[in-house]
Amino acid sequence: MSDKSNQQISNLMDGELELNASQFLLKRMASDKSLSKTWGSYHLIKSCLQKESQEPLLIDVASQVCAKLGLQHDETVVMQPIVNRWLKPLMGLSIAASVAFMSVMMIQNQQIDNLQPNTEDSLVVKSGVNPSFNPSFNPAIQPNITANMANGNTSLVSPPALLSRFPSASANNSYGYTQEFSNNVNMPYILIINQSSHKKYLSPMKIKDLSD
Amino acid sequence: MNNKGKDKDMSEKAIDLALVKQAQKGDIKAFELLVQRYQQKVGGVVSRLIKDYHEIQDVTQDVFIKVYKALPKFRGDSAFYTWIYRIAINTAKNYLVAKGRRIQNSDIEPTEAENYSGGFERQNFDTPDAEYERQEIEKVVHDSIAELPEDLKQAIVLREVEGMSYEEIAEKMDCPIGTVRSRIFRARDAIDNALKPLLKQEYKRENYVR
Repeated sequence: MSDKSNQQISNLMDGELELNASQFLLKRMASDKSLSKTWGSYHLIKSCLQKESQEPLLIDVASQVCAKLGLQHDETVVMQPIVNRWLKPLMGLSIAASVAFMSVMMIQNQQIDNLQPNTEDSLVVKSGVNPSFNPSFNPAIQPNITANMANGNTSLVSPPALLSRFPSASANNSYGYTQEFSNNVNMPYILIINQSSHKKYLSPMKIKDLSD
Repeated sequence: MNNKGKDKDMSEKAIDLALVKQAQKGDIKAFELLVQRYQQKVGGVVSRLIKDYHEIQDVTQDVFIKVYKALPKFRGDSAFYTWIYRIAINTAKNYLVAKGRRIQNSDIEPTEAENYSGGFERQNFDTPDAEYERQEIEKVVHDSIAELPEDLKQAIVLREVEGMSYEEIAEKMDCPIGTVRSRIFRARDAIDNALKPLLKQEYKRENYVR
């Protein structure tokens, strides 16, 4: 055992060794018996000098404690944090809930896809930005929506209420597609309208979320 | 009252925490290093409530057994020494209650326990053998210090007895801090060399008794 290691132990116990060297030495001491003996001896000297005279000097408590615990000196025991013991079931539950939620969402998506009409008969209206949040949005565009739709073009419209996959009641009843979407949420979507039933404006519109 | 400085306290806390983390991962050696670091202080706290030497030994061991079992719960919110002192006091009190004895110094607190320096009369709670061993070790330590060169003696006394930081010692002794480190180490090394024969006997005896 080198003097350098012993000097490092002396510095370490006084908090005078730099962090990296301290961490390295602590790990070395845990595996090197001679280093840990020096650590114990230096602490015994400290105890002798610092303790009150009436206190009994205690020596080698560690080996007696390990013997009582039935531990070997060079043994590594897997100690589990207590918090994990009750977190584990919760984590399992949360994973199961997440899987169930994903399953429900996938089934819902499939049902919505099945409801969509043939795209050949549809007119697509795209909206990438909520007008109320877009400073460049010009309200004058709105009257053109009906015309654009009649021409089979693509135009910007506000998102539907609550971003529902189905139009709001006001949207169903809006005769000229001058929708009254009240909810201001910034999210892209595609509005699909069945052209073949152009005269049946009361039929529900199909909305597909672009994020799908 | 000594003035060790906040930096030193923080650093010692960091050392404790590093050892606790190693021990929490199941490293028994790291736990042993913690026991070696605090066995005397815990014994001192226990001895304020219990006067018999063998009982102090037993209760001190019980304290560290409880510490070991409770290690996974230690999060480092408080200092490690505060935590084990609390366990030590509770263990000692519970021991006395179990024995049907009256608890003296029942108002002892962890913060007080660290400064367990005054107001107690000297009491002989060692067995003759234990008292002899304790006195031998203390004698060797003090004799070794007396034989040290003056600069080493002054450095170790300022550090361990006066509780000065290395910076304060460097200022007091008018030397670089590296010299202080070297002097304190050389003093410890000299005392350790003088103690070795005695400690070998002590360890042999402890192991034989077990």
